[in-house]
Amino acid sequence: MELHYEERGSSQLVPLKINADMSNYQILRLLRQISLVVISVIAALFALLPILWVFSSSINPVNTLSDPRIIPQNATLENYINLLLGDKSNFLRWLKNSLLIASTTSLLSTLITSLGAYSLSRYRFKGRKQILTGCLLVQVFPNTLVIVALYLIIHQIGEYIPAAGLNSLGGLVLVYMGGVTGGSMWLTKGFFDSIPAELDDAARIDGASHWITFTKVILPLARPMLAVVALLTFIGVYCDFILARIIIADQQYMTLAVGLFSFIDGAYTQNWGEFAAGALVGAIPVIIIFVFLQDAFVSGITKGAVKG
Amino acid sequence: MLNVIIILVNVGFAFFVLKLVGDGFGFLAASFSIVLVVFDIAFLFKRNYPYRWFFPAFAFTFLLAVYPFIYNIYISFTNYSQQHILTKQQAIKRIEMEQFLPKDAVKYNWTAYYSQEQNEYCLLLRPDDGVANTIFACSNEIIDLSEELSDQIQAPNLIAGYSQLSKAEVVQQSAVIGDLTFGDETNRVQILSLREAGAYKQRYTYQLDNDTMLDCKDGISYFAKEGYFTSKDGMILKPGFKVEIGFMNYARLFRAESLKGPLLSMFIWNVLFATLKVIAPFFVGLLVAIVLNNLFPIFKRIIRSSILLPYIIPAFISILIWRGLLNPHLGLVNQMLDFLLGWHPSWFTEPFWTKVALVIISLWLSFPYWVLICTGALQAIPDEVNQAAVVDGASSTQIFYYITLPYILTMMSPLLVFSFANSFNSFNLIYLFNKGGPPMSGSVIPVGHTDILLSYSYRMSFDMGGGDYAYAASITFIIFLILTPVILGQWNYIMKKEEVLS
Repeated sequence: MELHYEERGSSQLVPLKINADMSNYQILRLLRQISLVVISVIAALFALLPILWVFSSSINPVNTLSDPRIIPQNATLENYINLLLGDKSNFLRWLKNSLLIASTTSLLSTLITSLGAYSLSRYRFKGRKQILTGCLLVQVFPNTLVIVALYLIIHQIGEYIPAAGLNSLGGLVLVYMGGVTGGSMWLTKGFFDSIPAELDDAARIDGASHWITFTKVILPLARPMLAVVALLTFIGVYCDFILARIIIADQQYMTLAVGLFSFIDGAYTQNWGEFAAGALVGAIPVIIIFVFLQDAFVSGITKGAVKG
Repeated sequence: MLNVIIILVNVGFAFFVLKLVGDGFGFLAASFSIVLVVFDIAFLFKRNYPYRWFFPAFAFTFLLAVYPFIYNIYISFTNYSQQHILTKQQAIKRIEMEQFLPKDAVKYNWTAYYSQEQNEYCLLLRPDDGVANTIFACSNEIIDLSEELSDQIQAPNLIAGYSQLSKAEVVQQSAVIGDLTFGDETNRVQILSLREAGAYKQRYTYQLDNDTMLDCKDGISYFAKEGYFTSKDGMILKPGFKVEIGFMNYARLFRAESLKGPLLSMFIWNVLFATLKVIAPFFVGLLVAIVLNNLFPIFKRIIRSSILLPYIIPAFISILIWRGLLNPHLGLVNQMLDFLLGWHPSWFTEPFWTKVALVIISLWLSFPYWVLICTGALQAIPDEVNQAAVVDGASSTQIFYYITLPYILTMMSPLLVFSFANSFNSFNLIYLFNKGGPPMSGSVIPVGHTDILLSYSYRMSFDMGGGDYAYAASITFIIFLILTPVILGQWNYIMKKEEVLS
């Protein structure tokens, strides 16, 4: 007689009681498997359909939102060409602004944060705990709650330094810099802690100053971890809408989020195909980063959840 | 080298701070001073070496994360708005720039010039008493020609591309020229007659001793009152300026009629939506995670990666995509519903269905996240517990209710509570989908049916016809107070968990 197993968890097999009424049980099991498959397929379709549909409208020559076919008739790349190369299209400029702002912010903040984190990780000084607590405290209060104050502060700074005022990329970078530093500090410090202090000591014995130790020993070792911090910051800035929306008013300085919104909010249906193309192209940077960081992301999330 | 940098930074900051104080930006000046003090403490003393590394991060975080919080509270007690955006000092400067033509004005003789290319008139002006101090005044600038023309009594025919107008032309065009003023901000001139032009004088002067604006034209005093210089008969001078007004913004927010109606329903919707936005994706995510856990492996991998897709597309893009999907005329969803049921809801104009749409979208946006988290959590349930239940003859439903669910809920409850704090402010979803609409008709305050507190605050300060910054700041401060217990709980939790403080 065959032994029946039921799958449990990922790999463990639990022997089942073997009774006379086997066929009934098998039917039940089959039904259960079918319902599992049905539920998971529904979930996958729910997740996928909007994206498939955007893809389909982006290659649809007719400006429609509701072609039921995934590959439409006369599929064309016209929308992409108009979007990327068209004279009236601001899309490339928005994308460039977004990439510029996000990379500037992430580079600057990673640099600044790693300086502070080095000090927090390697020195013991008065007020160190308070500084760490402060970083966390700044991080837990979302800065979307002070948009009005941020707007007015940037407005005031702009009266003296127009390049860091309202409606400038500099002003927007300033706002983001204030928002990201606290949280990354915590993360970066944790990374630095994992680098053995003996390496520092060795460098110091060889006569290296703190600065040399930092730039020649710690930074090269921490590069992969700092890349993770920088990329996370990049995604955060790239995906922001509200701060960019209040600081930037001109088309030419808009980030992708603000630009795409103005695109769809204004001439809605006229531009649908182009919007769909823009949505897909705009998602590419984040998808690429995600592919790079997939393991860090998934394990980070699950670890954070299960801890304790 | 270091000393030079320290001196330069100090001088630069001090200069900037003084300028800020002069323009009345006391708070900003104070926060820059704090940054400077910290800089000096860190860099002047050798034993404070560890702090030096920290300075750049401190400067940014303090100026753009800590200070805004304090400033936001301050703003909420002022009348800061589009009409009162200047500080008092700035407003005084602006008002003092205004000029008028007094009866006893300094008189000039004038000759008119005109340039076709620029389409601009200019005047050559000479004082009554001779040829010294000759100036050439165009619509926005003054050129001093005293030296060039000191020996010429006759006005030249051509100056800097402008040619002299003949008597006849002047008479013909006198109506046009008479309406124009010439010169720059400090020295403005208008013609009085065919021969004479008069110089403008500053109209208002600020009297420091009794804090009033004196109108030199008719001798009226304007007192500083509620953000405007106001005369006894209630006339005001624009622009207004920013003053502290105590709890007026809060009084306005909690006014009886707005509180009873729209504000209360907005608050209820805000809480309801924040809850649904966490709960719905969580339970769907949990269900899917359990299903995936029991699925055969190949299938599991395919399904899992397709479910992850919404998670890696930036939310602002997904929300806009959904806006298209639900488009009333052309959207795919409505077409399908029409085909299946012969009916579709108005996703953007009916309050109930707009809310339903928002919940569906938030479900789509975040259930992948919860699938990931719950998958991890499911694996953390000890296998022995499940096995023991199986041995005791528990059905899978029983296992779910008595083992899986309690386990998961205990593990997830902190995370669920923190997500609530975030979803309480889901501005992006509300605004990008329908800008808080459909609008509530007949409401005492301009508000939409799906507005949450944060989008209402945004509407008051940044949307068309907004600019009500102080009022908006008071709303965000209220949100802050509501969320503080949640956030502090989160903070305590993290502090307990993390051992980074060592």
